[in-house]
Amino acid sequence: MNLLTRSALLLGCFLTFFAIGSQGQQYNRIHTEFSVKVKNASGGQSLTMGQVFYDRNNKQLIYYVNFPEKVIWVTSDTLVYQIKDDKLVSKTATFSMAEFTVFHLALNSHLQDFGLKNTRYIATEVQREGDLVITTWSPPEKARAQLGNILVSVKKKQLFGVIFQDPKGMVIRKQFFEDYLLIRGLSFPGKIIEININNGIESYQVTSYKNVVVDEMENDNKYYYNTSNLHL
Amino acid sequence: MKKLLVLASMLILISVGKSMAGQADLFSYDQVAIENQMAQLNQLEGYVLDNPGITLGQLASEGNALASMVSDPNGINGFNLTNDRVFGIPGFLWGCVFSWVGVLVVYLVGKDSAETKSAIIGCVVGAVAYSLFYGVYYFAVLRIY
Repeated sequence: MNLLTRSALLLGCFLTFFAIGSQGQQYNRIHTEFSVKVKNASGGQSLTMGQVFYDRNNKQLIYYVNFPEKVIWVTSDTLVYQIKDDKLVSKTATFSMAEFTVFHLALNSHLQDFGLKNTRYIATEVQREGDLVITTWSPPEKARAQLGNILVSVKKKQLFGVIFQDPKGMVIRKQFFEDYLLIRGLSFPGKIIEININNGIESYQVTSYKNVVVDEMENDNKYYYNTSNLHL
Repeated sequence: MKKLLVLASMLILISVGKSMAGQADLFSYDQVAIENQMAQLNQLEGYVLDNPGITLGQLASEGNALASMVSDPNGINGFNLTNDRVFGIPGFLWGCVFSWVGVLVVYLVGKDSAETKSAIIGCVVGAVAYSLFYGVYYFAVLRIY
């Protein structure tokens, strides 16, 4: 092997490693315990607890709910399956896409822009105020009669808050991402506070995550649910 | 003339500063108020953690007072404007699973507007198409180089 060929190979290796390194670390699967507490404007409240598993290669988000009752929710492609005692209870078509879940965004290090960078929303304004960097995302022209802006704030390179506005600019929802956990280099919010505003009246949802596990080798069967055999 | 220009510049800077301050003000909430709102649910959560495997049905059958803290065992949620699940899916899944897409769907579909549904479908389908294009471009084009 002459010097030219060796140099070319060496350069190729260097460029390959550089390219891989510059993409940023990516993770494949995440598993966590969750609890979701909801208090609505009329005083009604609910608690949902369990575990959630997500593998971005399978693109299935699987909730193993323990409370209030034992039920499994599987989101796969554009369908959501409700399973009780290994029997399919319901199957619903949705707009769900795994790519827009907080789990997928975190695994791909896209949580900072809330996944909006890969959508038709356009970043129309970026401001810095104190330690907050606030980006205003506007919907495409054709949808502006129905959809308002989304304001995304980042603090210390972590997603801090998201504000949803209606087409008239009124705030309809706020989300705050707190208590970040660092697991094998992956940053994940331990708590998400959500405030829904309807006609000036607020409802609340507090989602907590704990015992977050990233890229585990065990529990393979928890990350995939064979939905092909499920029938109503 | 110079004084006028300086005054005009100051007024512009003040108005810009005010608009900027307004945006940051949006990113705040009353922590104490929310803690108070969640107090009963925190108590119930603690009990469930201390008693793994317990369900709401078991709590109710035992006559446990904590069971009454849950108003709707099937998932009352603050994000469904019509008091029903959206497409049969509980609100918590929309909000915390589907990110901003879920929020928009719940908000807009709850108004029962065929037009808003179409807008969402168009927006979301477009997003998928864009993501697919981006993926193909990245892998087919950038990878070659």
